[in-house]
Formats: sequence, C-alpha cells, structure tokens
Amino acid sequence: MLGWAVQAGAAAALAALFYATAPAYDNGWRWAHSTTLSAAKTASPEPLFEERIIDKGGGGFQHAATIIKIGNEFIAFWYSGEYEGTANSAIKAARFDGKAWSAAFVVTDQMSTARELGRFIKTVGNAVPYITDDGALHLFYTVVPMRGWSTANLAVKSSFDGGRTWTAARRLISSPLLNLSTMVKSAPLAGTNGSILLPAYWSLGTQYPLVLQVGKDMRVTGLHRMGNNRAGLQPTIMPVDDDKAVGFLRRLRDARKTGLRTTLTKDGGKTWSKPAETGLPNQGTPTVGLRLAKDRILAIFSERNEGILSFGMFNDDGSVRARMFTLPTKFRGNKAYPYAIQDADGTIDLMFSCEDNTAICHVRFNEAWVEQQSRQVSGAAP
Amino acid sequence: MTWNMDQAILLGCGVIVTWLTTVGMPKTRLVAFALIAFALLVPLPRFTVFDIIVATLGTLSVTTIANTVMVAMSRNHFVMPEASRAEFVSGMALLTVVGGALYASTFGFTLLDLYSFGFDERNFTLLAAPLWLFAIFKRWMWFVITIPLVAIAVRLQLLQSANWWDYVIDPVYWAVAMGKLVQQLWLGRRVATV
Repeated sequence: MLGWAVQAGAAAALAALFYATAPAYDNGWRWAHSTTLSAAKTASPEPLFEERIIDKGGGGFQHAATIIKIGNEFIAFWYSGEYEGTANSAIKAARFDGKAWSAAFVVTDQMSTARELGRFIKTVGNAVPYITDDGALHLFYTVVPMRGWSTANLAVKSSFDGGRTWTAARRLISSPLLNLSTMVKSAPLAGTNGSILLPAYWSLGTQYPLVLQVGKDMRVTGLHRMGNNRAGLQPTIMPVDDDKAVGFLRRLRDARKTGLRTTLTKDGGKTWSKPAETGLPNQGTPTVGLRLAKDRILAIFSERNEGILSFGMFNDDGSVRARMFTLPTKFRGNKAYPYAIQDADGTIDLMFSCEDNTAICHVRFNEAWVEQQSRQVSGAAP
Repeated sequence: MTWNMDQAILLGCGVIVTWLTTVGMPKTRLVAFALIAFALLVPLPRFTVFDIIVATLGTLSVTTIANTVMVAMSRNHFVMPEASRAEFVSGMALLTVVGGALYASTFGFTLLDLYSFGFDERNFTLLAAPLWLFAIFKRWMWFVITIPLVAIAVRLQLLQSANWWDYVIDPVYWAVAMGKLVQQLWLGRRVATV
C-alpha cells in the first residue's frame, strides 16, 4: 500500500508540474476591430463607378475571386479550371495598378500543392488573402483530397515580397475527422493577439459556420462555432465594436424557404445567436459585407438564381435598414460569389464571378455612388 | 513524391511493425510484406498508392502509433507485456466512447464542440492525469506508458496539429477500437454461455 501511495504521489506531482508548465492558452481572442471600421474613411463627394473584366488566362471555369491591397496595388485571386472540381485546377492571380489589370498568372495548382503537401490532391478551390502586421501576404485556400467539396481541407502559402514568390503550401489541421470538411470563402479578420480569425464552414453531411483562429506559425490554435447543424454556410463577419459583430450566412441549398440569415455575437465571437431570417433572398452564393460610415453595413448578396447581385443596408444589430438596388452592370450571365474591400479613401472594389463563371469581373465604386443609386431607385438615401 | 513528417511517421511505424511481426515468420509471409510495400510505392499516373492512402487517412494519432508498436512488441515477447483482458476492454471502450462523442460533436449533432477544447493543453492534463493515476493503481501498463507518450508529443507539438485530440485519437483507431470491443464482448458472452 505504501508503494502505491509513493507511486501515486510521484505521478500526481508530475501531472501537476505538467499542468503548471502548460503553455498559456489565449482564450480571450477577439478581433482588432479598428482595422475593419471605416470611421476614418473619407468618403468622396463625387460618385464613382467603373467596370472591368480580368483576363481569363486561358478560359474555362473561373470562380470565387477575392482581392487585397498590398502597397499601392491590388492583387485578385481566384480558382480556375476546365470545370468546377476538375483535376487540372489552379489558383490564379492578377495585379491591378488602379488603371488596368495585368495578365493572369498561376500562384499554385493542384499538382504543385500535392507535391508540397506530400499528399494526393484532387483539386484546389476558394482562396482568401490576408496581410499580417509584418507585411507578409498569406493565402488560405481549399484543397480537396477526395471526391466532392465536402471533403475539403485548408492549406496556406505565404509571400514576403508582395506575392511574387511563395512558400511551399502547409496544411491547416481544423477537424478531428481525417481533417475533412473545412472550407473558406470570406475575408479573414485581425485578432487582437496577433492571430488571424478565419471565417470557415463545415459541410460534410451537416453544415455549419465557424471561425478558426490561426496563430503566427500558421497553425489552427482555436475554433468557435457560429451555429449548430444546418445554421448556414460561408459566413462573413462584420465587427461593429470590440465585442459585437454581425455574421451573414449563406442559406443551405435544400432550405428552399429561407433567405439571407444573420447571427450576432456580443462576446468577441465566442458565442453566436441563433441565425435569424432577414427576409432578403439569398440564392446559392455568399454575402459580402462592408461597414460604412454612419453605423451602417453594406451587404451585397445574390438576388435570384440567375445570379443578379443586390445591395442592401443593415444596421449594426443585424436588422435590415433598406433593400436598395441591383448592381447595374454590363456583364452578362450568372454573377456570383461577391467579395469586396474598402480602401482608406472610401473606394470599394467588388470582385465576382461573371459571364456564367467563365470570367472574373471587377466593379469599383464609392459610397457617393451607392447613395446616388439608392435615391434613383427609392427616392431616398439608405 | 515529397516526403513529410506524417509520411515519415507512418513509414517508420510500418517498418518497425513489419520487422517485429516478421521475427520468426516464414519466408512466404516476408515476401508478401515486401510485395505489398513495393506496390504501395509504385507510381500511378501521378501519385503512388501510398500517397492516396496517406491523403485518405490523414495523420495517425500518437496513441495509434504507440499502441501499434506496443502490439508488435508484446506479440513477439519483446519487453512489452500483453494487456490483461480488463485493461484491453477498458481501453477499447474508452476510445470508442471518446471517439464517438468527438466525431458526433464534429458533425454538428451537439451544440458543444468538443474539438475546440483540444486547443488548451491544460484540458488534456486535467482529463489524463486521473486516468493515469488510476492506471498506475490498476497496474495497467499500456495506459501507464501511452498517456505520458501522448502528453510529451502534445507538449513538443510533434504533429502538424496544435490540438491534443489529434494526438489522442484518429478515426482509424476509433474504428479498430469499436471492432475489437465488439469482438471482445462477443467472445466474453460466448465463454459465459459455454
């Protein structure tokens, strides 16, 4: 009995020592909202509206474009292939100097990613960029090891020279089930502890949105759900202060009676409210949000199956302020998967798939144009 | 084919197991092992079968790797004693229950996300320490050895994951544990009936 007591005491002491020396877990993660608010943005008084189409870079399927400003230029990323989910897919990019887009170039493709990860990859998909405080550009993108998007997981490549050269791809481990079924689509946010908060979603069998915390070493170091089974997909998060944020959720494909949903957090993203219907339609495409001046959130969402993009204005509590107008554009065919950023001068760059997913389109506008359009349609500013 | 840590671990584990389990084996079985290993590495149009298996299985947990080596050692009477039936059934039952809860939670069937608890290493210590003490008391050597191995691997972050759940269990071991548990319970029932 004495022997057991000595052993138990030693083991307990060892366990206590192990516990005491465990690395501190930053449980208080939240976004650095100052980087996403537009209070300091100076809205231009003159309406601005420009439309461009990016070089197709060889044709085929072009989808899920994103954009980021780095230095004085912009870089757009999207995935391209013969068709959606094809084996010969690639993440392409193009540069924009404020006047014209460069020719498209390949950042990585399915074979390169497979070689770098040392595993079989069937295809690559949605990519979202993010710049950390040290100026490094990180590209999070979806890789599919088996059949179907629901088996996807995430990889990341980093660039320290503005996107000219890239590190080898690294895997992000975000699920205990063979690391399956985590995808990204929306803009990452800055965490207060130097981490990156990456809106993501699970889509194998059941579907729900979540936020991943990615540490400086590009490992997933935290995870919070934005809803339970069947809550929605492809979350977009709009912080409104240190603790509060509005989340826009894409409705599920089989949820015919539901439209665009919103969910709220008041504790920095740890818990989220049950998704609420906004009454606005949402057809098979994510929503992009931008926080404008005067406590308003501009949301761009898909109106109908034909892929018309619509503009709506939301309050900071997630309620609908106004359903405004559809995007007047010369581009034909289905328009889907909007993604937008707002520059310090208030200029908004909106990217989306167009021409029935055979091209990437770019629309540049400002808040003055939004107000002008809104007045023309409804007779009042939003 | 680019080798990474996961593949190196998987291959190293395979080599050790193959070596240990082939001690005293007939030559035909050794040849069969060699042929299977060769087949796994033969390139298909773009990837080897080994690549596809690794992509499908993901990363094996430290528990799986450690226990596989321990099985091979004990079967060859090499240092490691065989687990008692009580220890074996308890281990398989624990893995079955823990894995079931973790994967059900991951599929979104519960509001609580168990996987998110795995990012804090202290949670692992709080759960594993009492189990370790109990195993020492019961003289369950497999538990006594495996738990510290997992703890050290978590502390050193040997796998790509920063979540200790990925060091504790993986779907492959979970499936094996369920099968072994059913087998043991069925055998026990048959013995009792006889």
